[in-house]
Amino acid sequence: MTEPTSTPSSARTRPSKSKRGEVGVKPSAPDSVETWLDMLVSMLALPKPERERVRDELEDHLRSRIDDLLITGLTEPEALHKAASELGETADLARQLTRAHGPKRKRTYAMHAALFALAGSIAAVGIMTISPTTGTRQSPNAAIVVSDKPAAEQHAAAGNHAENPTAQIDFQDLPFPEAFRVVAESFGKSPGLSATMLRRYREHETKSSMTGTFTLDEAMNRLLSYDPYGNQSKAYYVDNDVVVITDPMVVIRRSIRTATYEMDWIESYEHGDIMVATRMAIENSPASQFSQVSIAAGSMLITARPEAHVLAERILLDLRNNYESRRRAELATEAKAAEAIEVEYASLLERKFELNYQLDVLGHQSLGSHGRRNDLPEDEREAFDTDMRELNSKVDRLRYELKEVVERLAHIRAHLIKTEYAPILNRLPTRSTTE
Amino acid sequence: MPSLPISLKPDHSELVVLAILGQAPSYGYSISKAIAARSDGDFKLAPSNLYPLLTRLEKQGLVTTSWEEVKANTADPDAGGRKRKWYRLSAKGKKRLAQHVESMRRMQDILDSFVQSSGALA
Repeated sequence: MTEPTSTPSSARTRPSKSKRGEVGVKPSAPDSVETWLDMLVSMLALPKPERERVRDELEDHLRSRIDDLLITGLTEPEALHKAASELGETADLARQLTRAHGPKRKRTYAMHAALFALAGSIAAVGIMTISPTTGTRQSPNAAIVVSDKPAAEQHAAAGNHAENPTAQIDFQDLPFPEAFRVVAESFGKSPGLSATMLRRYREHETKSSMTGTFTLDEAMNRLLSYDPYGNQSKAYYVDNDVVVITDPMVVIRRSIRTATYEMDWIESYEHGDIMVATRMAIENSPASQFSQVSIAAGSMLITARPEAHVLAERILLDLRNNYESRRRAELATEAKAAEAIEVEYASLLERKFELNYQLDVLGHQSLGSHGRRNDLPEDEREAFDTDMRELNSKVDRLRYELKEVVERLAHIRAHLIKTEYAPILNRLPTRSTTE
Repeated sequence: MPSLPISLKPDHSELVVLAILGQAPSYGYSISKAIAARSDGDFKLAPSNLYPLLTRLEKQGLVTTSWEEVKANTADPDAGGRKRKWYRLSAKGKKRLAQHVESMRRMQDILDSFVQSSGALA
C-alpha cells in the first residue's frame, strides 16, 4: 500500500488535468454516481463542509467498487446497482453517518442566553462606534454619502477623505440657494433642490459665507449649518452629478441595501436564535431605521443601512467564532468522556473474565472436598476445615465482586444504548395534550 | 459439520480495523476488502458500520487522516478525479490495539480451556 500524500482536508478543488495517474479502468458513469451521492448528501443533517467530506469519501468507495465490478464483466449500470445496494439503505446509511459525524445536540437555555449576551455586547460597542448620521457636529462623518457601492464599501468611503476630492470655495453673504449652487458647481455637480424647498429658502434672508478648501462633505455640512430650518432636518446625497438636499429619512431610505448571509456553518435549528440575536442588535443600534432581518432557505436576509450590515457582519463573525470554539471544546469533552467509559468497560470485561477464571479454579479445588476430608486422619481434619472455610470465604468475596462488575457493565451498556438512541428518541413525536 | 455464522461485534470491528491499519495506512474501501479477504468472506463489515466506525476512531484520536487526489488513467484527459481519505494508526491507536489484542488473547485462553474439555468429553 503506497503512502498517502498529504492534502488539506478543507481544500475543495476540482481535479485539474494530470499527465500521469493511477492505472485503472474507464471511470464509471458520472451522472448515476453523482445522482446517488446527491441523494445521500441531501439526507445528511450535517454542516455543509462535513457533508462535502462525507460525499468525497463515499464517492471514492462507490467508484472503487464499481471499477472492481467492471473487471468481473458487469456492465456499468449493473455495477452501479450492485455497488449501491452493498452500501445498504440510503436513508439508513445517511442516519448512521449523521449520527457518527454529528455533535450531541443539547439545546439549552444557557446557550440562548450566551448568544443574546454576545450579540448585546457587540451591539453596545457598535452603538459607541457607529457615527450618528445627523446632528449639529461639524464632523466629516455627519453627512451620508450614498452610492451604488456595497454596504461595506459605502461605510468605508464615508470616512476616507483621501478619495474625496477637495475644492477651493470662496463666497460671502450669499442666500442659501445661490450658496448651494456655488458649492455644487465647485465639485462639477448641479444643485438639486425641489421647487418647494427653493421657494421656502428664498423666503428667508439668511446668508452664508464660505472660504477655504473643502471636500464636498465638509462644504455641505458647513452649508447645511446655515440652513434656516436647521441641519437636523436636512441631509444630502449625490445622485450622479446632482447634489440633492432632502429630508434625512429620504437619504437613509436610499442607503438601504439587502444582503444575504450564509448560515451553513451552524445547524439549521440554531438559525432562528442567530436571526433573533442579529435583529435585536440592529434594532438597538443607531442604524435601526427601516431594517428587516429574516431567514430564507438557510440564509439570513438583512435589509438595512450600511452601518447595520457592518454590525451584522461583526456579530455573525463573533457568533461563528464562539460557536466553533464551543464545538471544539464539546467534542474534546465528549471524546474524553467516551474514552473514559470505554476504558472502564474494557477493564471491567477483563476483570469479569479474570473473576470467572479464578472462581473456576477454586471450584475445582473444592470439588471432592468431603471425600478428601474423610480420608484424612482426625488431627488433620481441623486444619483442612480451616482451609476450606478460607477457600469458601474467598469464593464468596469473588462472587460478590463479580456481581458488582456485572451490574456495572449492565449500567454502562444501558448508558451507551441510551446515548446511541437518544437522538432518535428525541425526534419521536410526543403525545398530544388533547389526547 | 457447518459452523455457526459469525457476526462481527462492535468490539471486534474496532480490533479488526485497528489491526489492518496497524500494518499499513489504508482507506475505507480497501479496509472493507481486506476484512473480507482475510476472513474468506466470513467477516463482512458493512459500509454503514465501517464509515461511522472510522469517524469515531478519528474523533477519538486513534487514527489520523489525510486526503489524496485520485485520478483514473483514461482516454479523456478532462475526466474528473476524486478524493481519497487515508487513515493511519496514531500512537494512541497503537496502544488501544495492544489492549484489544491482550484482551482477546486472555479470552481466547479461557475459551480454549472449555473447548479442550469439550473435546475430551466427545
